Amino acid sequence: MAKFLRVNMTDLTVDVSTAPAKYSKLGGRGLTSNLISAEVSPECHPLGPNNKLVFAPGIVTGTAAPSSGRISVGAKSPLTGGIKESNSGTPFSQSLARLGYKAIVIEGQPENKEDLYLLKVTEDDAELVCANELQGKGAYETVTNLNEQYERYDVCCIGPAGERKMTMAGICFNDPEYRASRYSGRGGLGAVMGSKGLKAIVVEKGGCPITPINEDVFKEGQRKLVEGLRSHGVTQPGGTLNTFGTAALINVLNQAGGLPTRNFREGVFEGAEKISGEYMAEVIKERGGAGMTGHACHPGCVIRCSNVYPRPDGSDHVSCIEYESAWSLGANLGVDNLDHVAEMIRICNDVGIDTIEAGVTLGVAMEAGLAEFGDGEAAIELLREIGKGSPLGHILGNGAGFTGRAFGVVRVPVVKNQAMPAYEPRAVKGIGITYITTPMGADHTAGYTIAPEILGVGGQLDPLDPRDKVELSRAFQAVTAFVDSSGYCLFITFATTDIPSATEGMVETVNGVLGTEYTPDDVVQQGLEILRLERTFNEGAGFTNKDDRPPEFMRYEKLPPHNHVYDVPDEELDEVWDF
Amino acid sequence: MVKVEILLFATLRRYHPRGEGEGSQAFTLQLESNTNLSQIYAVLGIPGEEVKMNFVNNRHQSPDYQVQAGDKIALFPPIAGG
Ligand code: SF4
Repeated sequence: MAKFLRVNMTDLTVDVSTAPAKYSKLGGRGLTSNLISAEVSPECHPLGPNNKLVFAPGIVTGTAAPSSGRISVGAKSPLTGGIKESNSGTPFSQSLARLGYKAIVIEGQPENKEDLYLLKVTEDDAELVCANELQGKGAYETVTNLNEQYERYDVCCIGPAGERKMTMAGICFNDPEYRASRYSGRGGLGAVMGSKGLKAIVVEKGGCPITPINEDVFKEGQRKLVEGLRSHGVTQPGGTLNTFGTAALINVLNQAGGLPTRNFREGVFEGAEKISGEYMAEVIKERGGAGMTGHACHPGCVIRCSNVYPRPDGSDHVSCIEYESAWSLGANLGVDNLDHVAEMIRICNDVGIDTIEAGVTLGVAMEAGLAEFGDGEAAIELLREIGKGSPLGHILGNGAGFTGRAFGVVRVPVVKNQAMPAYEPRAVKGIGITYITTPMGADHTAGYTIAPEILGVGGQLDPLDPRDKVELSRAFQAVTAFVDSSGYCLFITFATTDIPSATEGMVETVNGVLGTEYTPDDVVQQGLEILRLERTFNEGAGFTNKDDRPPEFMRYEKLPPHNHVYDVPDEELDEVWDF
Repeated sequence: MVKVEILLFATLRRYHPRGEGEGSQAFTLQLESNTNLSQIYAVLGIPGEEVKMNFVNNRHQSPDYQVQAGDKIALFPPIAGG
């Protein structure tokens, strides 16, 4: 039977019990959002005792389904004040699923705010152990120490930023080689973990692979999906994700005039090539050593978009340089030195912060005059302040919105106080609708309309045209809500969008595991239900349509080279929720 | 005749006229005035099915777009990410 592990941090007790029947068909985001909606008051303080932090592997996680080792972490977000699901790919999720846990729910708060704990999870039991010796330790040291101490366990932890309850703090998971590199970064969930006095979780490896209820349906679905992934130009072995990583998008968005540059002042960055996936792959090849492309964030990924970036001497500098980080800490700061970008990602991974929020915050800090755009070394020094916990570090560590207010900056690219990712809404209108209307705060993964607007996946639309993008964004948001629940990496959707049999395969694997008979249409309906639930939570927290608006400067500042403002009207933004 | 500037990206860089080592460099082509993008693929020896995205002066264009003097053309294979 699937189990729930409830951990009460107030009285320091744990309880392993059979998962409630009403959650039996849920996983990942569907489960975290349902549980938060049912058990957390939308009015609670995100860092107080009444918030809960939920870890949930996806529906097919722990099976042999390809690219399915994803985990959802949910809570009320201290960054946005709304509901949050933040997703990551890691062996931790597979181990948790294979031990039979559907979810870990962290509740309450210890009386003594100084103490830190570690949660040790085995097949039948769990225990809280004092972890004061890990206080203030970076995620690298924490993961290495715990890997030595707990052999054959996967690790999840927070860095100093989470302990200090900074709202850009993320939750770190190990990759297959025990790097502190896989993050549920967005929305400040590391601060929620810190507020509960929980420094780390270790989960025993092993367990049994999940046995599907209907093995034949599962196997047939798996075959169709693998076939689709292996034949699509983007996801196949030797395809662009595998060869160049996601940072191959740097040049694409730059050519589209939609690569936010120097804190969203321009859409083209003259130094794009030097932070691109093409350049990165060349450096990795030249330097050799620990460097590699085609790295997998968890065993069983057939796409393998991750990488390890080496220093000039070949030693492991950081994993991984992905599009979002190369942009946020590169083009967005006017920095065109990939070694500087790598160092900043390493600092983010170690301090335990989201690279998107960190980069956008530094952009706002540069706007405020704290450093010059283009000065990578100054950016590195600013970032180090967060790890030090200096007063400036506390301002920056609380994100772009907070930093903008602290320094009187108007050009602050946030929605619901969460930093915008690497696609300029004024150059790609549909993705703006997703940023603005998703219950998550500005988030590209919530409804990736970039696929048809820029990449020619699932059609080809004019990115600059504001018309007829509402339904598009809503449809992508619905499918995504389901994919985030399934345990699959969102990147399978590049193949499933173009190849109908791959979509069938995805749905069939879910049916095989759950013993259900969902059709692809049912899946969209389920996604819509998840969205509605999340929206309702946010309404309870005080959000209205007025929070579904772009930052005002995007309405009056024209973005070069296309010189567009954000011109999807408010009424159309509101229509996203007419369903 | 019209003169255009061309940039190749990702796996298309192996078709650079000066060899893959120069793949990231822009190069110019002199073309008949009614040349379209798919004819440029042929000039460069790029199989049409390998090209997924064409940007001309930062705007998407289809393979039958007729080039104009001074166009800055960027050609990409299928690419995606997040
Ligand atoms: S495609 Fe990339 S992010 Fe997705 S599961 Fe595979 S390695 Fe992880």
